[in-house]
Amino acid sequence: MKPAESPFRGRNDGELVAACCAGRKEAFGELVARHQDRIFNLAFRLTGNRDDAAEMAQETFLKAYRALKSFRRESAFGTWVFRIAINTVRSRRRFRAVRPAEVSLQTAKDGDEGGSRNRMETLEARDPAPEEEASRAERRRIVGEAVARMDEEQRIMIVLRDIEGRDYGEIAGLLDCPRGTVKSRLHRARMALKEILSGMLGDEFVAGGAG
Amino acid sequence: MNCRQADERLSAYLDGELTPPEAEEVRRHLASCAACRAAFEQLQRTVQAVKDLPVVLAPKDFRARVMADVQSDAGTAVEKKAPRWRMLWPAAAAVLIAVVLALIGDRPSPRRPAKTAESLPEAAAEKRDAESAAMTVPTDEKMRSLDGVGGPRASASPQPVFHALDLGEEARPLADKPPGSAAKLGGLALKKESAETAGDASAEAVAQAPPVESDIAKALEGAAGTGDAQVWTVVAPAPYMARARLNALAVENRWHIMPEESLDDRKKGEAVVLRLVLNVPANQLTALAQTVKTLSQPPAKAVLLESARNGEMRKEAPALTAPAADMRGVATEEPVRTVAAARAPGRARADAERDTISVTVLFRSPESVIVPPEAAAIMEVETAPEE
Repeated sequence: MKPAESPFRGRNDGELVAACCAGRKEAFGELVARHQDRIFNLAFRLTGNRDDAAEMAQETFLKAYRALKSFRRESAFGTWVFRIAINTVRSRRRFRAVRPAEVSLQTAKDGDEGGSRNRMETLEARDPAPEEEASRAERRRIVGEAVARMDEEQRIMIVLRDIEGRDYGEIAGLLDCPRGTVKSRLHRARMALKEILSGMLGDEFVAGGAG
Repeated sequence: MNCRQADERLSAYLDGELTPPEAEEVRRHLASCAACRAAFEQLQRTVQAVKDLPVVLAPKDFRARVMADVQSDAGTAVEKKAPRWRMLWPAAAAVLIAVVLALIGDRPSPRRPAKTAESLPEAAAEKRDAESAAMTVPTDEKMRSLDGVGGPRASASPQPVFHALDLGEEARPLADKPPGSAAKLGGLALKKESAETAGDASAEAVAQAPPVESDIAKALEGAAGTGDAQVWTVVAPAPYMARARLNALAVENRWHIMPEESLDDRKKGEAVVLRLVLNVPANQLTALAQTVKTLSQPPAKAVLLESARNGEMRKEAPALTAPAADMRGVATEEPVRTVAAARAPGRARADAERDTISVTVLFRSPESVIVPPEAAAIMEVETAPEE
């Protein structure tokens, strides 16, 4: 990473937005560079695989670019893009038939090449018992897999709260639903995840070993 | 507090999202109940496991890919959103369609297109007198039902034929134009609409629209008072056109458009769902509702407005209580005809300016049988085991 020569280096996001609106497209490149990892990680956790994540994140930035002039700067650029990303992933989901868990798992597997080549092995290994000596990294992979297996509507709760660290009020705002709904849905989502994890990690997880 | 009550609160307890007295009750229950304590510990482990997940970085070429998109999106991108252009394009499209129709008609003058009478705007206008009695019932009734919005002027003006004419009629009281220019505007609207409906062969459906029954003024009274945000759906064969028209009117009436929230247009196959999010002064909500109503085709099916606290209205909207299977954006058997699913109480977005209300208008093509997320959220609210 050597963005050192960038003329936008010391500029804040607001200045970059202004520059971009004034016709300097490179400024947008700098904005992308600053926010891409956060948005990509969000998209990855929401979609469960890299290909979809890349597509969603790309679409998010393109939408942001198109709407840049109307961005009112009432919020930070990062917050604004985050919101666009959530909407992008959600609206895409709407147009997809809900897939059974197996299918979604399959998709995640197929789409995820670079990140976890061991995913297949991990999955196959979950019935027998090598979990006990599972490395920390492997355990993380399993947890990631468990999240990817969740129902999408529940997954979004886990992602926003436990990965992104949003509080209930913020989540309610992002999902356009009441706070009480966040509370109940999040709890159901966590219980569902707990079930999946218990299934994948077995006694170790239930008993709290290797936590 | 029993185990079930405690269990339901464990997540909120863990997140510090309970009120102090509630949290105290949970704490006391946990102290006395080993089973719940075990459940709580598992919950903690689950949450911790997720928090330990690593951050996944974007691919190395990600920025380049985005910038390639941006470059190919060419010049128009940033300028694209200018309202002026949006105001013009429906008119341009209408002119184009009219020209094409005239050419297809293969006649020296498009004024007397006997053979294609049904599909030509001019012909439609000429048939106005003969058909107006049957077709204006809905428009007339709903106009009268609204206090002070277009009522007297509407009845004094020529009878509208297609409801697109309503747009003209609506535009007049809203923008407070002198009668002369309004008549022109009405004429233009009629022409546009005729061309449009001829284009997608729905003119017939429009003409057969049953009378509008719901008294939206009444429904809105409550909504305006509560300041609850609204979600309305417009079912239109030409959703882009419908949105463009609403956009134009919004600009004209200085309703604040929330562009960043109006973004997620979707098209897949024949299904189109667009949205426009407006911040409207509470006292103009009725005017907006009327406008929105005219954008739907046929109007009667399209508008069922509901305020968040209006239980009565909710009963009339069976789609809102659809079974759980329909909640996740899955296609339902029947297209959701509901027009208005209110945003849930407590999520009022009337905060920016004290007396404005956020209205999300969804534009949906009739083929689309997708439940918008807002509607799904409402259904979720209804079924959520909240206490």
